[in-house]
Amino acid sequence: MIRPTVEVVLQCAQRLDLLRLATEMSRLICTTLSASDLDQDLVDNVELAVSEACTNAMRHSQTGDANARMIVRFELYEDRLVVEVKDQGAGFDLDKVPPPNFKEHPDGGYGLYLMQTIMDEVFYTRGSEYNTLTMKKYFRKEGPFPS
Amino acid sequence: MEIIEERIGEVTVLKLTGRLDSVSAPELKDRVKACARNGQLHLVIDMAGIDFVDSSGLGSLVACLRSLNKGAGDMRLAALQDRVRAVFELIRLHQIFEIFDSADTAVDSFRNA
Repeated sequence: MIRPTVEVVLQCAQRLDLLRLATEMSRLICTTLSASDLDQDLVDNVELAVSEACTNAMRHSQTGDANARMIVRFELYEDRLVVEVKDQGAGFDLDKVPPPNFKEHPDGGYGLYLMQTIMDEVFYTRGSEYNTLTMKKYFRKEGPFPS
Repeated sequence: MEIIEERIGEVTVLKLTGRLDSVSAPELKDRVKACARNGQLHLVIDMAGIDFVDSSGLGSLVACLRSLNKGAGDMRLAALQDRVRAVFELIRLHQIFEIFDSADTAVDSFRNA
Protein backbone atom coordinates (compact mmCIF):
# COMPACT_ATOMS: atom_id res chain seq x y z
CA MET A 1 0.00 0.00 0.00
CA ILE A 2 1.37 3.41 -0.97
CA ARG A 3 1.47 5.76 2.00
CA PRO A 4 1.04 9.52 1.65
CA THR A 5 4.21 11.59 1.90
CA VAL A 6 2.41 14.10 4.08
CA GLU A 7 -0.74 13.70 6.15
CA VAL A 8 -2.32 16.69 7.87
CA VAL A 9 -5.47 16.51 9.97
CA LEU A 10 -7.60 19.40 11.18
CA GLN A 11 -10.19 18.56 13.79
CA CYS A 12 -12.51 21.32 14.92
CA ALA A 13 -16.06 22.22 15.88
CA GLN A 14 -18.58 22.36 13.02
CA ARG A 15 -18.57 26.14 13.07
CA LEU A 16 -18.68 28.27 9.96
CA ASP A 17 -16.19 30.77 11.35
CA LEU A 18 -13.55 28.02 11.27
CA LEU A 19 -13.95 27.51 7.54
CA ARG A 20 -10.90 29.55 6.64
CA LEU A 21 -8.62 27.38 8.72
CA ALA A 22 -9.34 24.54 6.32
CA THR A 23 -9.03 26.62 3.14
CA GLU A 24 -5.77 28.19 4.29
CA MET A 25 -4.46 24.74 5.14
CA SER A 26 -5.25 23.46 1.65
CA ARG A 27 -3.36 26.37 0.09
CA LEU A 28 -0.37 25.88 2.37
CA ILE A 29 -0.18 22.18 1.64
CA CYS A 30 -0.38 22.70 -2.10
CA THR A 31 2.13 25.54 -2.18
CA THR A 32 4.72 24.54 0.40
CA LEU A 33 4.59 20.80 0.93
CA SER A 34 4.04 19.42 -2.52
CA ALA A 35 7.15 18.28 -4.35
CA SER A 36 5.39 19.00 -7.64
CA ASP A 37 5.43 22.48 -9.04
CA LEU A 38 1.68 22.91 -9.00
CA ASP A 39 0.12 25.47 -11.24
CA GLN A 40 -1.88 28.28 -9.70
CA ASP A 41 -5.21 27.13 -11.18
CA LEU A 42 -4.88 23.76 -9.47
CA VAL A 43 -4.07 25.36 -6.11
CA ASP A 44 -7.04 27.74 -6.52
CA ASN A 45 -9.39 24.92 -7.47
CA VAL A 46 -8.41 22.77 -4.51
CA GLU A 47 -8.97 25.73 -2.16
CA LEU A 48 -12.40 26.34 -3.71
CA ALA A 49 -13.38 22.67 -3.42
CA VAL A 50 -12.28 22.57 0.23
CA SER A 51 -14.33 25.71 0.93
CA GLU A 52 -17.39 24.13 -0.68
CA ALA A 53 -16.99 20.82 1.12
CA CYS A 54 -16.44 22.38 4.53
CA THR A 55 -19.28 24.87 4.08
CA ASN A 56 -21.60 21.97 3.23
CA ALA A 57 -20.40 20.03 6.25
CA MET A 58 -20.83 22.97 8.58
CA ARG A 59 -24.05 24.40 7.19
CA HIS A 60 -26.04 21.40 6.05
CA SER A 61 -24.92 18.91 8.65
CA GLN A 62 -26.01 20.82 11.71
CA THR A 63 -26.93 18.36 14.42
CA GLY A 64 -27.80 20.93 17.04
CA ASP A 65 -25.00 19.39 19.06
CA ALA A 66 -22.49 22.07 20.07
CA ASN A 67 -19.88 19.34 20.48
CA ALA A 68 -20.26 18.04 16.91
CA ARG A 69 -16.85 17.79 15.26
CA MET A 70 -15.59 18.08 11.74
CA ILE A 71 -12.40 16.47 10.56
CA VAL A 72 -10.54 17.57 7.45
CA ARG A 73 -7.76 15.21 6.41
CA PHE A 74 -5.26 16.07 3.70
CA GLU A 75 -3.18 13.25 2.26
CA LEU A 76 -0.49 14.35 -0.12
CA TYR A 77 0.94 11.73 -2.48
CA GLU A 78 3.52 12.16 -5.17
CA ASP A 79 0.87 12.39 -7.87
CA ARG A 80 -2.25 13.61 -6.06
CA LEU A 81 -3.88 15.29 -3.12
CA VAL A 82 -6.72 13.54 -1.32
CA VAL A 83 -9.00 15.59 0.91
CA GLU A 84 -11.51 13.97 3.25
CA VAL A 85 -14.12 16.07 5.02
CA LYS A 86 -15.87 14.20 7.81
CA ASP A 87 -18.91 15.54 9.62
CA GLN A 88 -21.37 14.30 12.19
CA GLY A 89 -24.56 15.48 10.50
CA ALA A 90 -27.46 13.48 9.13
CA GLY A 91 -25.73 13.04 5.79
CA PHE A 92 -27.22 12.96 2.33
CA ASP A 93 -27.44 10.81 -0.78
CA LEU A 94 -24.98 12.11 -3.35
CA ASP A 95 -27.01 10.62 -6.21
CA LYS A 96 -30.13 12.50 -5.14
CA VAL A 97 -28.60 15.96 -5.12
CA PRO A 98 -30.21 17.76 -8.09
CA PRO A 99 -27.97 19.39 -10.69
CA PRO A 100 -27.78 23.19 -10.62
CA ASN A 101 -30.71 25.05 -12.12
CA PHE A 102 -28.97 27.07 -14.80
CA LYS A 103 -32.26 28.36 -16.21
CA GLU A 104 -33.57 30.13 -13.13
CA HIS A 105 -30.26 30.60 -11.36
CA PRO A 106 -31.37 30.41 -7.73
CA ASP A 107 -28.98 31.69 -5.07
CA GLY A 108 -27.80 28.20 -4.07
CA GLY A 109 -27.31 24.62 -5.19
CA TYR A 110 -23.95 24.96 -6.94
CA GLY A 111 -21.54 23.60 -4.33
CA LEU A 112 -21.48 19.93 -5.23
CA TYR A 113 -21.45 20.74 -8.95
CA LEU A 114 -18.38 22.92 -8.43
CA MET A 115 -16.58 20.22 -6.47
CA GLN A 116 -17.36 17.59 -9.10
CA THR A 117 -16.29 19.92 -11.90
CA ILE A 118 -12.96 21.09 -10.53
CA MET A 119 -11.79 17.93 -8.74
CA ASP A 120 -10.95 14.64 -10.47
CA GLU A 121 -12.95 12.37 -8.15
CA VAL A 122 -15.64 13.11 -5.56
CA PHE A 123 -17.47 10.51 -3.51
CA TYR A 124 -19.41 10.35 -0.29
CA THR A 125 -20.00 7.68 2.29
CA ARG A 126 -22.30 7.66 5.28
CA GLY A 127 -20.97 6.18 8.49
CA SER A 128 -22.28 5.53 11.96
CA GLU A 129 -20.02 8.13 13.52
CA TYR A 130 -18.96 10.29 10.58
CA ASN A 131 -20.05 10.93 7.02
CA THR A 132 -17.10 11.38 4.68
CA LEU A 133 -16.81 13.43 1.52
CA THR A 134 -13.64 12.45 -0.33
CA MET A 135 -12.11 14.51 -3.13
CA LYS A 136 -9.05 13.68 -5.21
CA LYS A 137 -6.99 15.93 -7.39
CA TYR A 138 -4.25 14.52 -9.59
CA PHE A 139 -1.30 16.74 -10.35
CA ARG A 140 -0.98 15.67 -13.95
CA LYS A 141 -3.54 17.27 -16.21
CA GLU A 142 -4.37 13.96 -17.87
CA GLY A 143 -5.42 12.42 -14.55
CA PRO A 144 -4.12 9.47 -12.54
CA PHE A 145 -0.80 7.85 -13.39
CA PRO A 146 -1.37 4.57 -15.15
CA SER A 147 -0.99 1.67 -12.74
CA MET B 1 -14.21 41.27 4.08
CA GLU B 2 -14.08 45.05 4.00
CA ILE B 3 -16.86 47.06 2.35
CA ILE B 4 -16.30 50.72 1.47
CA GLU B 5 -19.29 52.71 0.23
CA GLU B 6 -19.09 55.61 -2.16
CA ARG B 7 -21.90 57.63 -3.73
CA ILE B 8 -21.50 58.90 -7.28
CA GLY B 9 -24.68 60.77 -8.15
CA GLU B 10 -27.55 58.31 -7.99
CA VAL B 11 -25.24 55.33 -8.01
CA THR B 12 -23.80 53.65 -4.92
CA VAL B 13 -20.51 51.84 -5.29
CA LEU B 14 -19.69 49.13 -2.77
CA LYS B 15 -16.01 48.38 -2.96
CA LEU B 16 -15.26 44.91 -1.57
CA THR B 17 -11.89 43.67 -0.36
CA GLY B 18 -11.00 40.20 0.87
CA ARG B 19 -12.87 36.91 0.55
CA LEU B 20 -16.51 36.50 -0.41
CA ASP B 21 -17.55 33.15 1.06
CA SER B 22 -20.11 31.74 3.47
CA VAL B 23 -18.45 33.64 6.31
CA SER B 24 -18.70 37.07 4.71
CA ALA B 25 -21.78 36.61 2.48
CA PRO B 26 -24.30 37.67 5.19
CA GLU B 27 -22.40 40.94 5.62
CA LEU B 28 -22.80 41.77 1.94
CA LYS B 29 -26.51 40.87 1.95
CA ASP B 30 -27.10 43.05 5.02
CA ARG B 31 -25.26 45.96 3.43
CA VAL B 32 -27.23 45.75 0.18
CA LYS B 33 -30.51 45.48 2.12
CA ALA B 34 -29.57 48.59 4.07
CA CYS B 35 -28.86 50.44 0.81
CA ALA B 36 -32.24 49.40 -0.61
CA ARG B 37 -34.04 50.52 2.55
CA ASN B 38 -32.26 53.84 2.18
CA GLY B 39 -33.53 54.23 -1.39
CA GLN B 40 -30.13 53.49 -2.96
CA LEU B 41 -31.38 51.26 -5.77
CA HIS B 42 -28.58 51.55 -8.30
CA LEU B 43 -25.59 49.62 -7.02
CA VAL B 44 -22.18 48.81 -8.43
CA ILE B 45 -20.22 46.09 -6.67
CA ASP B 46 -16.53 46.76 -7.23
CA MET B 47 -14.92 43.32 -6.96
CA ALA B 48 -11.34 44.39 -7.73
CA GLY B 49 -10.24 43.59 -4.18
CA ILE B 50 -11.96 40.20 -3.97
CA ASP B 51 -9.41 37.43 -4.40
CA PHE B 52 -11.59 34.45 -3.47
CA VAL B 53 -15.24 33.56 -4.02
CA ASP B 54 -17.12 30.34 -3.46
CA SER B 55 -20.70 29.38 -4.31
CA SER B 56 -22.01 30.86 -1.06
CA GLY B 57 -20.41 34.18 -1.90
CA LEU B 58 -21.77 34.12 -5.44
CA GLY B 59 -25.16 33.05 -4.09
CA SER B 60 -25.22 36.17 -1.95
CA LEU B 61 -24.67 38.30 -5.06
CA VAL B 62 -27.58 36.54 -6.80
CA ALA B 63 -29.81 37.10 -3.75
CA CYS B 64 -28.86 40.80 -3.71
CA LEU B 65 -29.59 41.18 -7.42
CA ARG B 66 -33.00 39.48 -7.12
CA SER B 67 -33.90 41.57 -4.11
CA LEU B 68 -32.99 44.84 -5.84
CA ASN B 69 -34.77 43.85 -9.05
CA LYS B 70 -37.98 43.26 -7.09
CA GLY B 71 -37.82 46.86 -5.89
CA ALA B 72 -37.09 48.26 -9.37
CA GLY B 73 -33.41 48.53 -8.55
CA ASP B 74 -30.38 47.03 -10.24
CA MET B 75 -26.89 45.89 -9.37
CA ARG B 76 -23.91 45.66 -11.68
CA LEU B 77 -20.52 44.11 -11.09
CA ALA B 78 -17.11 45.46 -11.91
CA ALA B 79 -13.44 44.50 -12.06
CA LEU B 80 -13.53 40.75 -11.49
CA GLN B 81 -10.12 39.15 -10.98
CA ASP B 82 -9.47 36.26 -13.38
CA ARG B 83 -9.78 33.70 -10.63
CA VAL B 84 -13.15 35.08 -9.58
CA ARG B 85 -14.40 35.35 -13.15
CA ALA B 86 -13.53 31.68 -13.67
CA VAL B 87 -15.91 30.66 -10.86
CA PHE B 88 -18.64 32.94 -12.26
CA GLU B 89 -18.31 31.21 -15.59
CA LEU B 90 -18.30 27.71 -14.09
CA ILE B 91 -21.75 28.28 -12.65
CA ARG B 92 -22.77 30.50 -15.56
CA LEU B 93 -23.55 33.55 -13.48
CA HIS B 94 -22.07 35.79 -16.15
CA GLN B 95 -25.39 35.13 -17.93
CA ILE B 96 -27.44 36.99 -15.33
CA PHE B 97 -25.09 39.79 -14.24
CA GLU B 98 -23.95 42.80 -16.16
CA ILE B 99 -20.20 42.78 -15.64
CA PHE B 100 -17.91 45.71 -16.45
CA ASP B 101 -14.15 46.03 -16.60
CA SER B 102 -14.06 48.86 -14.08
CA ALA B 103 -16.27 50.49 -11.48
CA ASP B 104 -16.22 53.72 -13.51
CA THR B 105 -17.69 52.08 -16.60
CA ALA B 106 -20.30 50.31 -14.46
CA VAL B 107 -21.32 53.65 -12.91
CA ASP B 108 -21.46 55.24 -16.38
CA SER B 109 -23.76 52.44 -17.58
CA PHE B 110 -26.41 53.61 -15.10
CA ARG B 111 -25.98 57.23 -16.13
CA ASN B 112 -26.31 56.40 -19.81
CA ALA B 113 -29.37 54.18 -19.34
